[in-house]
Amino acid sequence: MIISRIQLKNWRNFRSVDVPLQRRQFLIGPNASGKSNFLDVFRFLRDIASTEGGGLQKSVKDRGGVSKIRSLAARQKPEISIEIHLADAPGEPPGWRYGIGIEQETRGYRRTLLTYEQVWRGNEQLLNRPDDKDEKDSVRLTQTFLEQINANHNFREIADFFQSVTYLHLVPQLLRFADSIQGRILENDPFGQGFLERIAKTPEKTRRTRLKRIEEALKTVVPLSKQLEFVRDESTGRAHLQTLYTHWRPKAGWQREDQFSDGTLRLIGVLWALLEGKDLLLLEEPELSLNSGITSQLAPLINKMQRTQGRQVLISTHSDALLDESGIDGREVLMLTPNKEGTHVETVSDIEDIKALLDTGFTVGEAALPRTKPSDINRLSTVVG
Amino acid sequence: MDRNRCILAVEDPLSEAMAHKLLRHCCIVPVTVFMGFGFGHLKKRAREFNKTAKNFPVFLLTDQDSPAHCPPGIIDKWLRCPRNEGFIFRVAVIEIESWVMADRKAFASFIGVNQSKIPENPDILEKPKEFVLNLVRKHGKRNLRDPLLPTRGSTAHIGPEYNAVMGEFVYQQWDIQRASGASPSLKRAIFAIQRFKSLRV
Ligand SMILES: Nc1ncnc2c1ncn2[C@@H]1O[C@H](COP(=O)(O)OP(=O)(O)OP(=O)(O)O)[C@@H](O)[C@H]1O
Ligand SMILES: [Mg+2]
Repeated sequence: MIISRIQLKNWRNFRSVDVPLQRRQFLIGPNASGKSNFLDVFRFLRDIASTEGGGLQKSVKDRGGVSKIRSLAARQKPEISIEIHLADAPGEPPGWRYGIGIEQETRGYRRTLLTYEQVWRGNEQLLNRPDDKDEKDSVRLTQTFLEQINANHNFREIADFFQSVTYLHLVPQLLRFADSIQGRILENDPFGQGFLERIAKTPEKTRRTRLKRIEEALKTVVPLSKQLEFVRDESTGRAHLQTLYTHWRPKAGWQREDQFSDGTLRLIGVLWALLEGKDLLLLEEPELSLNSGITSQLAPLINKMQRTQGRQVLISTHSDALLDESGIDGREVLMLTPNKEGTHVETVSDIEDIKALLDTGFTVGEAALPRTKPSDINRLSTVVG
Repeated sequence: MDRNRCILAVEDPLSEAMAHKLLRHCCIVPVTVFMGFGFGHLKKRAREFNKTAKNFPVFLLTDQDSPAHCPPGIIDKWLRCPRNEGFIFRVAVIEIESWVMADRKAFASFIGVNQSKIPENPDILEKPKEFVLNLVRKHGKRNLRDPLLPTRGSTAHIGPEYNAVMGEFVYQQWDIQRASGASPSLKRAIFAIQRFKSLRV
C-alpha cells in the first residue's frame, strides 16, 4: 500500500496542498521551503497511530503545540487538516481515505481537539466524527480513533500502515560518538543514534543477508573495503559494525564504526533503511557526505530496492547529482516554492516551462532544480526595483 | 506561445546578469535559469533547447570566444538544423566583457580609469576579458585587484570574486542605452529579442 495523494490545510508553512504521490517521490525546494515539514506530516500520523505511547495529544505536544503547527500564513485561527489517500499503486482509486482536522481548545486546558475524523474504505464511510457521543462528551475529541485499538478495529490496516512509517536522517557524529555523548535518543530514533541496536535487534538471518547486500554496495564505492560485519563487544555487550580493508596487514584487524568515514556511515544507514521495512520510508537528503558519483547512483538504487517490497520512498534532496538522471519521471518530483501565502507544492511536470524542457530530453535535475536555487531573478527585482 | 516569459540559458553568473538586463529591457521574465558552467554544457544541450523552444521560449547567450568563429557558424554548428522561432540564440562578440565595457562611461568610473582607455567599439577587441583584467591590473582601483585578478601562479583565469563583482556592476550601474550605442553586436541582440517579443503567431 502507498500514499497516493495528500491534502493539507494550514500545516506549518503550507496553507493549502493537494498533490498526488508516486512510489518514489522526490521533494525539492530552496532552504526552509518546508521539505522537512512535509515529511513531518507522515511522522505525525505515525506518532498518533503509535501503540507505544503515541496519540494525538502527545504528537501535538512533541511538536510544540497547535500554535507551532498551524501555519503562520493562515489569517484567523482555522483548523489544521490532513487527508491521506491510500492505494495499491499510484494513480489508482484509493482503497482507503483518512482525514483529521485539529484545533486548540480556546479556553480551559487548551487541549488539542479534533474538529473531525473520517475514514473511508473505497466509497463506504466507516467513521464520521464528531458523532452523537462526541457531541455529548467533548473530552472524546482529545483522542483519535486511529490511536485507540478498541475503536480502530474496522480500519486497523491503516493504523498499522501509519505506524510502520520510517524516517531516517542519520547523523554520523551522533552515531560515532554515541557513547561519549550519552545523548537521549529521541523516539523512533530519527537521527540514527540507536542505529546499531536496531541492527542488533534484527533476526540474525535477515541481518546477515542485509549486511551482505550492503557489503557488496560498499565494495563498489568505498575504496579498498572488503568485508562488513556485525559484532557484539564481549566485554561491554555493545553492538558494533566493523569492516576489513584489503591493504592492511592482516594483523591490523578490523575497524569499527567509530573509525568509519561520514560517507560510509551515511551510506550504510541509507541502504539499511531501504532494506529494512516494507512500508513508507522517509529519507532526508540522502546525498549528504556522499561523493557525487555515488549520489548519482542513488535514484536507480532506490528503485531497485523498492522493486522487491514495492514500498514507497519519499526523499528530500538538494542534489544535482541525484536528480541528473534520465530515468526519473517529472511526476516523481514535487517542487516546493515559498511565498507570502505559504509554500506552494506542485508536481514539476505540471509546470509549463519545466515540462517543455523535460519533453525535449532534459533531466529533472537540469530542468527543475535551477528554479529552487536562489537566483538573480529575485535579486534583480530588489536591486532594480 | 507566451512571449512574456522565457527559459534563460547562460554559461556563468556574469552572462546571467547581462541577460537579465537585456530581457528586462524587453519586458520578458526569465522563469528558469539554466547555468551551463562552461562552454561544453550549453553546446551539448543546444539541440534540445531548440526543441524546447517549440513549446516555450528559450534565450541562450554565449560567447563567440574567438574571431575565428563567426556567430552564424556557431549557431549552425551547435544546432545542425534550422533554429526554431522561439529560440533566441545570441552570441556576444567576442566575449560578454565587450558588452560590459560598452557602457564606457559607467565602466570607466567603476574601474577608476579615464573613459579614453576603453575602445569606442569594444566589439573589435580580440580578447576582451584579458583586456579588462589588464586594465584593472595596470590602472584600476586598488581595491578591485584582489577580487578581480587571479593571484600570481593561480590556475584560475579570473579572480575569486570576478563574477560576483562584475555582475553587481552590471545590475547596479550598467546602462543598456549607453552600451548599445557602442557595441553593434549588443544592439543586434537587443533588436533580436525585441523582434521576438513583438511577433504574433
Ligand atoms: N507554523 C508555521 N507556519 C509557517 N511557517 C513555519 C511554521 N513552522 C515552521 N515554519 C517554517 O518552516 C521553515 C522550515 O522548513 P523546513 O525545515 O521544512 O525546510 P526545508 O525545506 O527542509 O529546508 P532545508 O533544505 O534547509 O532542510 C522555517 O522557515 C520555519 O519558519
Ligand atoms: Mg530540511
